[in-house]
Amino acid sequence: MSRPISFFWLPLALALSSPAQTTTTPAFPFTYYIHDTTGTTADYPLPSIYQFNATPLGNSTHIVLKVVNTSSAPAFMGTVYVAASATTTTVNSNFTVTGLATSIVVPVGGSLLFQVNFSPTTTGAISAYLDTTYQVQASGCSFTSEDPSTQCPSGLNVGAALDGTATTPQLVLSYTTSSGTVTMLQANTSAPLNFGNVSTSASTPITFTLSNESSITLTVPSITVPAPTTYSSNPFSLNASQVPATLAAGASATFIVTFAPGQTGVVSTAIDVGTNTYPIQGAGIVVADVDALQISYVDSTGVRSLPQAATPISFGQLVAGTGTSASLTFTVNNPSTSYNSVVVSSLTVSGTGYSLSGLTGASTFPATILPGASIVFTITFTPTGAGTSPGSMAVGTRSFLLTGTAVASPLPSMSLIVNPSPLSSQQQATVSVQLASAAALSLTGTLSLSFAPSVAKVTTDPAVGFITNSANNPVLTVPISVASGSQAAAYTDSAGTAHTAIVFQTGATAGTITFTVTFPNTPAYTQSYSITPAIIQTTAATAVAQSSQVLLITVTGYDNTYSAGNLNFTFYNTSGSAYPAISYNAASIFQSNFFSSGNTTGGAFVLQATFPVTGDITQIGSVAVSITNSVGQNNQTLTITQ
Amino acid sequence: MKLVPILLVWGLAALPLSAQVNSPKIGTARYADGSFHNVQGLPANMIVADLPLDSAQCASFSDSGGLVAQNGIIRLLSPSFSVLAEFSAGERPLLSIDGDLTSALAWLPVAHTLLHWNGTKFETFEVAESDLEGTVTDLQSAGSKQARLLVRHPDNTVSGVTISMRTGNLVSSEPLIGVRGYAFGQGIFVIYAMDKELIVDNLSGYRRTVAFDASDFVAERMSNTWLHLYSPSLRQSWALHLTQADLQLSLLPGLALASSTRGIK
Repeated sequence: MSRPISFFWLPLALALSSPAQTTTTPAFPFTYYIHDTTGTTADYPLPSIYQFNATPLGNSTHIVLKVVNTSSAPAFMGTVYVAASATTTTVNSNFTVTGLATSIVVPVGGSLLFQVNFSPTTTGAISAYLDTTYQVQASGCSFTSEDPSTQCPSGLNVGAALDGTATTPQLVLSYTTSSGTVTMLQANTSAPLNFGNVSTSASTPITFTLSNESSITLTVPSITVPAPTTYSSNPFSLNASQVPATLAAGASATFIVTFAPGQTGVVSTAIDVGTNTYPIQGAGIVVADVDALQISYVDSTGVRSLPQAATPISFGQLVAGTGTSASLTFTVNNPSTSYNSVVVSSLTVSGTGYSLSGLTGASTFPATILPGASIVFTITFTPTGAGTSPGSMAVGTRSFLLTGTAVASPLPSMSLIVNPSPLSSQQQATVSVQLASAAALSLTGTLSLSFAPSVAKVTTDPAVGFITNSANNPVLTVPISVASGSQAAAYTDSAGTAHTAIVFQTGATAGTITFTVTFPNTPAYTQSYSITPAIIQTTAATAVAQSSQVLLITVTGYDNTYSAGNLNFTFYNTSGSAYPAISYNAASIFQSNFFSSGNTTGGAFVLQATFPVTGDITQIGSVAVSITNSVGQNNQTLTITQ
Repeated sequence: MKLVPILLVWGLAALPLSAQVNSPKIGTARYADGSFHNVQGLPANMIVADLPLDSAQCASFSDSGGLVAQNGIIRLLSPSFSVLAEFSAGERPLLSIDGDLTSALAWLPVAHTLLHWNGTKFETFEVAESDLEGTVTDLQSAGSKQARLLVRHPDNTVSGVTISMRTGNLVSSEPLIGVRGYAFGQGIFVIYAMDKELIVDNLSGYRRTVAFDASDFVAERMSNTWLHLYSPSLRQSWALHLTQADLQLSLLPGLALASSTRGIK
């Protein structure tokens, strides 16, 4: 970075008088040098731009300056400060000047030492200027004169530019060796901290200390120990439970990293503290015979994994209360390259919800595994409730942690919306499956419908069911799916069209329709809707003079109670006069139809009544028809079509 | 069916009355795979049963019988589906029957010929190509001596064309204002789809609409008052009940085929 160095003169605030004959401001009498207090490095001139080391927020860095009167006259040093810019005398608060005895006269060749501190209060690049006020006793003026005409003129020198970069506050990581020595770790070093050689039956913990060496409270960044890239399981475990969210100035906290190899071999990873990476390494070795056993497991997808003792073997996430379980099949193999048989003293599994089964290769313990031989067994996790279930498995002295979790349901709570509501017979209505909130994952399930007629001796109505384009008749179950982020389930028909409002028929029988929504690992959701008994409903009715001697009355509709009985016909002549009413109990003919084995239309019917007529049929103008069932009477008047 | 005599006092006469109750029949539907099905029930309450009929490429049914065509053979069927007559058309026709058997008509698009069942035999009437410029989408009898055809022109407009069934000559041709695309006749109504609606128009100021997602429907008659609508793109069937007094559109359950094998066209 370069910038112009400017000098200008300001009226000095000092109460000094200037001799009338010396009105010009004297040249700056001092020269600044950077001074090494250790004496290692010779003083060298302060450059026109000085760059401070990057300094974490809350920390401080400094330089020691030596100011030398390089003029030919005594010089008065007024004040030295760090200004915010080259054109202001406002002090930059990120810098301080300490150790300087000001308002003193520096003889020719004399010098002073002082310190300029960079103590940033905000992060980022910061610029400032080193300002000095002064006087020079020359040209007949005097520092001590009380006569304004002989007082020395004052000057202000805008000196070197001071640049600094304030970085985020820094935490320091260290650990204590077994001998009690505290060793500070260097981030991003190529030399990893070595946990040493550890038996696959054992573990080695190291306690680390994270210290806030700044002067302010700092937020503790995330602390992680990622699994080695070549391993599916991490032989290093981290216990940072004692690390607070923040550390006060000067405070520290400890965490423990444990190297517990489940396999032999050298593994390397790192402790990541925020953006700082501290490499670590360890080696799993064989100490006892049992350490040589190769232990692996296969999950339901067929993936084989090598467990590490430091990391719990996960059985995944299940849904509590649904009876579902997860199993892992373990193989304990004595490598064929072994010289020795290995005696496994015991095989145990502990923890709520964990069970051991399917043991092959050994029937009792202690069991001997010959070189090249294996024992195989299965551990099943069946959650008994929501939450995380810890467990453990031990093959002799080789111990591994187990973990499984159970959640209440992968879907938010469900509800159904039917339209129209309430339902009645002879409708093509819709039902929608709604979620209380957006689904966190995609699932496929089913929507089922069952119908319980309320009519005695009637067990079903084939017209009740979902209308789809994948079956020739109403169906009782359709597949539905919920997309991640969606709040509704959809049925996708055979043309690929998704329907959130799923059409179903209500039939022609009174009763109760029950919907059941089923998704994997989710308790079934059920809701019922009643179709109440109703008076007979007609959809079409005609009265036609089929000939000069026959009248045909046709009524189409439904009786969802299957109880239609009395028919009543009252004919009127064209003048409106009524003939005597004709009544008839037609219950038997209705029930013969409704309860016939071949009836597939529930309470739907078409009634045809034929009336032979004598006389002039054209004189008959209309007929009032009433049909009665257990709920009430349907009445309508039909005009005779001649 | 059960017949029950009932005494009717009618003026000075005392006469018997008979009554019967059955399951309501909607009609006969030909599905996209060519198979036939008996549709029973009510609007919005339908049950479909298979019919043991040979599959066909097109069909039309009324309460009095039906016309079916397969491999260029047109068959006239009784209400019990027995074959009453056959005609070898040698091409895939367009069929219509909307009343008694004498309303049975067929349009042979290649031969440009109208076929009519006159009660005893099929008779043909060749129609001049200049009289019909476009695609015939439906036809109906207009009395015993005329047939009314709906013709879709290349610009998607539709005309109603009346043909004499004595001479095959053009009697009249009138553009159907506002009707566009595929159109189908039912009595005095013309049915077509536009802007997500199914429009039923009597061309005299009466127009009703119902929500309808398909823009590519085709129709066949199931009975005097019921039509079977099918959308190849949606693979969905509907049953439309249409009379002077009633308009009801219901979803019709039906096994749809992939669009590449659909039968109705």
